[in-house]
Parts: sequence; C-alpha cells; structure tokens
Amino acid sequence: MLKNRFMLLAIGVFALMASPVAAISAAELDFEEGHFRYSKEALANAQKEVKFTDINVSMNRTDATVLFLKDPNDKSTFAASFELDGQEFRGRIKSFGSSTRALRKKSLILKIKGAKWNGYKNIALRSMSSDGSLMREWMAWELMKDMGMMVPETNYVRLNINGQFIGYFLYIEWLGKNFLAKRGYDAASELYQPDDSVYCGDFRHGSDIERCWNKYTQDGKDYSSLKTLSRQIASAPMETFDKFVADNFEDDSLTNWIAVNTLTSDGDTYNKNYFMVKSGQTKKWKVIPWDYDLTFGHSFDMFAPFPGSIFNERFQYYYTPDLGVFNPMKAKALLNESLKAKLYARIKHLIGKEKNGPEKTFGWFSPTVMSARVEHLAGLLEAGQVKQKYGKRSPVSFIEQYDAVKHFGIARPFYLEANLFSTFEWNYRNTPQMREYVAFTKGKDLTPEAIAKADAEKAAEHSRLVAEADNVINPIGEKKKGLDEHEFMAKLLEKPFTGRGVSGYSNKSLVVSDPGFGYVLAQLDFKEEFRIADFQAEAEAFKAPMYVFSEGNPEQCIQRSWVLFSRIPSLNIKADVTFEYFDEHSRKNELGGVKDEHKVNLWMHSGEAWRPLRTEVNQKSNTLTVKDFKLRAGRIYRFIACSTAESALWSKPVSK
Amino acid sequence: MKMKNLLKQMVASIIFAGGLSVVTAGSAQASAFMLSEGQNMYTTGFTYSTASDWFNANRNRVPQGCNSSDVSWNNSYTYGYSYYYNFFASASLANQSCGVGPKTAGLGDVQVGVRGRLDNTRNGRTWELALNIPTGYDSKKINRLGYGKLGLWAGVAFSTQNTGWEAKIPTYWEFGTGINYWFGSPATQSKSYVKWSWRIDEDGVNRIVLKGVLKLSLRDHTPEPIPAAGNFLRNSGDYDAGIISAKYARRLNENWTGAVTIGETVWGRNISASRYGTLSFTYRWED
Repeated sequence: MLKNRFMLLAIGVFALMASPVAAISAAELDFEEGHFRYSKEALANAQKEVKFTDINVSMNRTDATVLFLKDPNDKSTFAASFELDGQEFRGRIKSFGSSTRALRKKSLILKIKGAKWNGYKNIALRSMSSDGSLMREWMAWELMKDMGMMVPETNYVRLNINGQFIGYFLYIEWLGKNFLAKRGYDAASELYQPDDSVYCGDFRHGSDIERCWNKYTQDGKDYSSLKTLSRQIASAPMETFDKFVADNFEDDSLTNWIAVNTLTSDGDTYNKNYFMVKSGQTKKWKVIPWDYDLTFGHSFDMFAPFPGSIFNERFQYYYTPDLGVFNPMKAKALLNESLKAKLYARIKHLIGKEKNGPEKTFGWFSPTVMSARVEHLAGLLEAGQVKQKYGKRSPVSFIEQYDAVKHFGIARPFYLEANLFSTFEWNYRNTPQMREYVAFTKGKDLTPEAIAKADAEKAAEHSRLVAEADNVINPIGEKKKGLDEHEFMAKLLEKPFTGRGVSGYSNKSLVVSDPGFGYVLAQLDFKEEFRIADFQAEAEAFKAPMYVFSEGNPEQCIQRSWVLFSRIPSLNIKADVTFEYFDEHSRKNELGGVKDEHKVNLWMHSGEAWRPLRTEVNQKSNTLTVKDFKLRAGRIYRFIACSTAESALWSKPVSK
Repeated sequence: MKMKNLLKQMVASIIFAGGLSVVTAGSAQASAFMLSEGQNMYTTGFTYSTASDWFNANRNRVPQGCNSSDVSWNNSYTYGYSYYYNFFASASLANQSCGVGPKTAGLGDVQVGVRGRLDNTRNGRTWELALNIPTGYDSKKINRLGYGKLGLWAGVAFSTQNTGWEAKIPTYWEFGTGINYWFGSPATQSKSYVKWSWRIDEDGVNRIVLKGVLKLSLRDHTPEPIPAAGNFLRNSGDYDAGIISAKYARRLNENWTGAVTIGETVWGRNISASRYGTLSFTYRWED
C-alpha cells in the first residue's frame, strides 16, 4: 500500500519538475567529476598560509580605555605611538566607520605624523565587529585579488595596545593618491566615492553628483568627469552597453564587481560602497569595490531598527545578481547579452561549473573549496578570538558563526546554479526603476507588458501542472478522506520545495537542493561507504506542521516540514542529516512562535511514532543537524522541528 | 546622526542663553554635550525682548512704568579642543531702551569658558567653568549692559540621552545647575535648568525643545540699585527669575540649523516680566 502510493507520489513529483541531479563532495579533495568542480591549485590556495601582522600601540591608559568606550560618533583622536614591521611611529589614533562605531570593538585609524609607513600616513584597521566569523571581508578581498581586480591590500592584524591583545582587525590599504600612484595612475587621475550618508551614489537620473559623491583626488570641487559619466550611463542603450563599457572602462572591473557581489550576496554596495577611478592617462574608468561585511549570508534586516538591522542572527543566500538597490550600471550590465554572458562565465568558473579561466580560481567558490577555506581560517582564528578584549565570542558561538559561513559556501553555488544556469534561467526583472531606462531598448521581451504577459503564462502553466499532479496524488473523492497515523507518511507535502540528489562516487557529502528555487533541502554527510546514493527531499515552507506529536503545539514549531527518503530501496546508510529553514529578516522567517532557536529539536516519524532527535542547532545559518542518523531502506522519514519543555534535553549548539 | 542631534541640543542651550543675555548679561551657556576634537560650532541669532511689567522685591507683578524694547545680536562659538576639553566664548551686541529714557547700545558681557567631561566614557555629562568679562558696562546709564564686574561661572549638566544606538530615542531630558559668582557687588546667583527635547521625525530634521530655567539669588552681596523710569530695577544685580521657553529647530542641511524660540519670565524678583523671541542659525564644521 505504502509502496504503491509512493510510486504515485513520485510520478506526481516528476510531473512538476525536470529533475536535474545534484551532488557534491564536501571533503574528497581529488573529486573531479562532481557537480561543482575545482582545481587543486584553488584548493591549495584556500588552505594557504594567511598573513597576520602585529601592531603594537602605546598610549595613555585612560585614552586607551576611552577609545573603545566613548560616544560612537565622537571623532576625537588620541596621542599614540605605533610599532609596525619593526618600525616605530608617532601619531594619533581614532575610531572610524559607521555602524560598528556603536560596538565596543571599533574600527581604528592610526594617523602617522612626520613619517610614512609603506608610503601611507593613515593605517586603517577594520574591526569586523558585524561579522562573528571574522572571515567575511578577508575572504571577499582575497577573492577579488585572486580574480586580478584592482583592490586594496588587506591582511589580518593582531592589535595590541599597551601590551594587551585587543583583537583581530583587518588592515585595508588606504584608498587615495598613493594607492593610485602605486598602481600606475598619474596625478591627473580622479578618485570618487559615494557619500555613504546620503545613499544616492547610484548614477540614476537626476541624482545630484556633487551631493551624492565625494572626490578625493585632483581638484576636489570639479565633478565634471563624473557628471559626464553619469549622463553617459543613463543614456547608453542597453543593447550596446557592452560597447559603452569597452570604450569607457579600463577592464572588466564592472562585471567582476557584479560577479563578486553576486557570489558573496552583497547588496549593500550599489549606491554607497564602491569607488570610481578615472585614469589620467587612459581617461577610462574602473570600479573599485568596497565594504564586504554584509556578505556570505549575513542578512540586513530592513524591518528591524538599528542595531538589530545589522547586528542580527538572520541569514540568507537566496538572491539573484540584481540584489541590492537599483543602479543603471548594474541593470544595463545584466540586461546586455554580452556583459551578462561575461558575468555568467566568470561565475561559472568561480563556482566550478566551467573551467574557462585560470587554474587558481577554478572552483574558488565551489562548496568543497569554500568549506576548506572556512575550516582553515577557523583554525587560525579560533584560539585568538576568545582572547580578544573586545568582540570575543565563546568557542561555541564562534563555531556557530563560521559554520554559517561554511553553509553559505555550500548553499550559494547551488542557488546560483539553479537560478542562473538551469532550466528556468533568471532574467533581470523589469522593475519600475528600470522603466525610465528601457526607452533605449528594442528588446520586445523587456517591456513591462511583455514581462507581465510572460509571468502570467508561466503562472498558468505552473497551476496546470500542480492541478495535474494533485489529481494523481489525491484523486477526487479521496481527497478529503482522513488519514490514519501511518498514511500521512505517504502524503506529500503541499506545494513543497522538492529536490533529488544522486552521488555515485562514495562521497561523504550529498546536497539535495530544489532545482527550481535553488534552496538546500537536505545535506547528508555520510558515515559509511556506498556505491550509489539517490535521495529525495521535500520541504513545505512557511506553514505550521500539519502533523505534530501528541503534546506538540504547531505554533511552537519551525513553520516547515521535511520529508526525506532514499530512492534506492536497498540502501541502508548512516549519515549526519542537516535541514535548513528560513530566517532572513523579521518579516520573512519560519520561526512561528519559537523565541529561541537554540531550544528547538527535530522530531522524526517513519511510520510508527514521533521520536525526538538529538539536534545540533545553528541559529545563524538556520540549520538543524542530526548526527549519525540511520537511514533505513524503504522508509520515508518525515521531520518537524519544535520547541517543547523537553527540547533542552535534545537540542545543543552546532559543534565542530 | 547622533552628533547632529547632540549639536542641535547644544544649539538650544546656547541660543537660549544668548536670548536671555539681554536681560541677564553674562549667563553661562550650559550644555550637557561635548563636541568631538576638531569640531566647531558657531551660532548667531537675534533676540527681541519686551516687557511692561516687572516682578518687584516682593515678587509681585506690577507695571514698570515703561515698555522695554530690547534687541540683541547674540554670537557664540564652541571649539572641540580635545576629547576631554571644549572651549567656548559668547558675546552679544545689545540695544536696550525703556520709555523715553536714552537707549543703550553696545557690547554686553563677554563670556569665555571651558567645558569638560564628568564621565570620560560617554557624552551627556559635563562640567564647565567660565569667566564673565564686563565690556560695555556704563554706570552712568540707566540701561546697562552686563554687571560691570568680573564673574565666574561653575556648573554641571546631565542628559538622559544615552550615546550611540540610543541616540535614536525620540525624547530626552537634560538638567543643569551651577553658580555665578561676581567679584564685586552683584549677588551670587544659582542657575538651574531642565529641558525636554522631542525629535519629531525619524531623521531628526525637526525638533521641539521645552525648557524651564530657575535663577535664585543667594543675596550675599547688595548691589547698587539702578532705578529706571517708573522706579523699577532695570538691571538688578540681585534678582530671582523663573523662565519658560519653547523652541522649534530645523536642520537645514549638513552644516546649518535654524531655530525659533519664544519665552517668558513667569516668576521673579527684581526683574522684568519679559517676553522674548529669538531667530537663530547655527553653523558647524570640522577642522
């Protein structure tokens, strides 16, 4: 009975989806034939020696205390001497930055007087306070450096003040005349950055260039070059925007910038966090990216007041390349076939889909390489981070933080693959903002009417398929029949995310993702060898569980249910099984009435009774893991995650 | 954003002190807030003050025999010398008259002072010391600018506005108190104020400030009585006053803030029952 129904359900599922398979290895380093590939050089690069610099500061003890405890907006400086690279400097120290000023561990600037270090008078140290893993910015800059982009030098710093370890900071080379001169730009070159207090450095029609941008080189009051560029960007037809970019930009900095923002999921950039530089020699422009703390899954909660908007435990990896505010440079690049192809090629290379670039970066952002990178960095940082005077986390909390970055590194390539390179290819949406620019296009599919018509057709087709599948799964007449305790195991979730993962390489990890949306539905880290694994996972999202254990309250459960089963009836295997749920921001989450995600544990039903499972919870990445779960042949497993009085006995933070 | 709010509140204090200087030349510009090192703030404004009654020695409100009509141009400047110390200075050009008597115009007392932190780890807790320096005082005139003696102001101020994230809170209270001591005949006077500040909009562009000031003479000196027309004491060196005011301030751009203030002396002794209005502008910048 169960098997027959299962077969019907399987047919229904396949009516809804073209079922590309998804498999990765997260640990087998020589794996070459899998879903996302990578070069040995890329993997070695992820595990390379990481530079740490020691900076020792001496200053008045009261000043040293005040520096971190004072009013966040105070811009006062304090006398200090610095020891760096074996050299002694005198100068002043002050806090800087925006949101992290409000935290104890503030970003700092060391201002050298009467001398220079490496050609610079200012040494900027970013606190990385919004990033509990201390990895996000470093990884983003490393990615850009490895891609050959013109970006500032960065490295980790161990900062000591009066002999006391203050914490890990990230040194970022000062962007100014010296930065440009070192890279061959002459004195006539111009450097601009959007003013990050007004949020309008986006080249949109009517934006006030002088109000929205700061100029750091040349004649600081002459914005004519940038005004001209702004006009050109606004008027350049999107069909020939590639030619405009070739004529006016020095290299691929624009598409590379979008590629990096896409990979790291950085939307906090297109109107404030980047630089534009115009070469005095070539008269061409280049984009220099900036500020990568809100990346790698760290979510900006636009509905929460500061500081919760930035300093939160939310997480996301589900945005396409248009994420972030509107910027015609971005929009036209994404709508131009040539630039879009260039962008996609770059992303494919970096996530390991196509080997169309240097060995060093092939698979740089593949799950295996990202996992290796995160683990490597965690090993370097974990011992010191707990000794930080400001900003330290408990070892358990730190694990949770970097584990979330690792989860992003695994999930993001799947998401991008599903949305950019699969059956339903993503296209830049014709948003209201874009309408003021589409007058230049002849592309019939880019008009608002055409987009609306296509959306309606797609929705109708989807409804038809769902209805067709529903008739197979729930024949008329049986639909309203009550299900007994066992039958519900065979009932598919309503409107689920569905995915299938197959691996034939005895790998230790398998990710099952929904090929339509790109969401990770289950990750199985196998503990036993196998010849072939073929698993199907489903998740019903944003809905209280339809079935719960007898004393359970659906409102105290994560608003998601999962089903997992092996499509190979004979496979018995032990694995660590991980599920994820949504908690992107305060208005888009599946927390229901759950107040403390650390007090949630998974419950499993396989046809007999609900059983609580010892669960590792990562509140940051919103993942729930059951270790050493025995997946038995022919069983369909249904999972829910709830908070009960006994959850404390079953739930614990994520471990190594 | 925090600093903008902070600066506006400083503006409120300074403007208000400036407005009162017509009546009580030499008032200290108490503020609970410190500027950062390298920050500058200049405030300029015009105050018009008028009164037909005064509070006599028995605190009764009686006609003063002439209608006073005073105009002053108030200027103040504060400089963030370091994290720990701010310097400030203020001066007013005034034109005072009452009835048919001669007008008096000129520079009032000039004040220079230093402000520091009571708590080094936060803003909103300050002490200050200031000298009141007589300049335009003329003992031969009925309307006199200032007190003609060197004065020393010492005070403290506190704000309920916490620093950092909490700067977004829509309202806060501020309280200040201190002593004005004169090296000469004017009586020592205590001055206290309480202020309620309400940020109307999310961005803090518009703000309402309500303020009450209480000045009490310690009567330790007996100053020379200076009777004006109608025999009221035009510029007493021994007076009490209770003053209320309301201010609307609007941030015009990153550097400029405009404000309108109205106020009245509602209780007192040996002081005119004045009503006044002030229009002021503040410009702030960094080194």
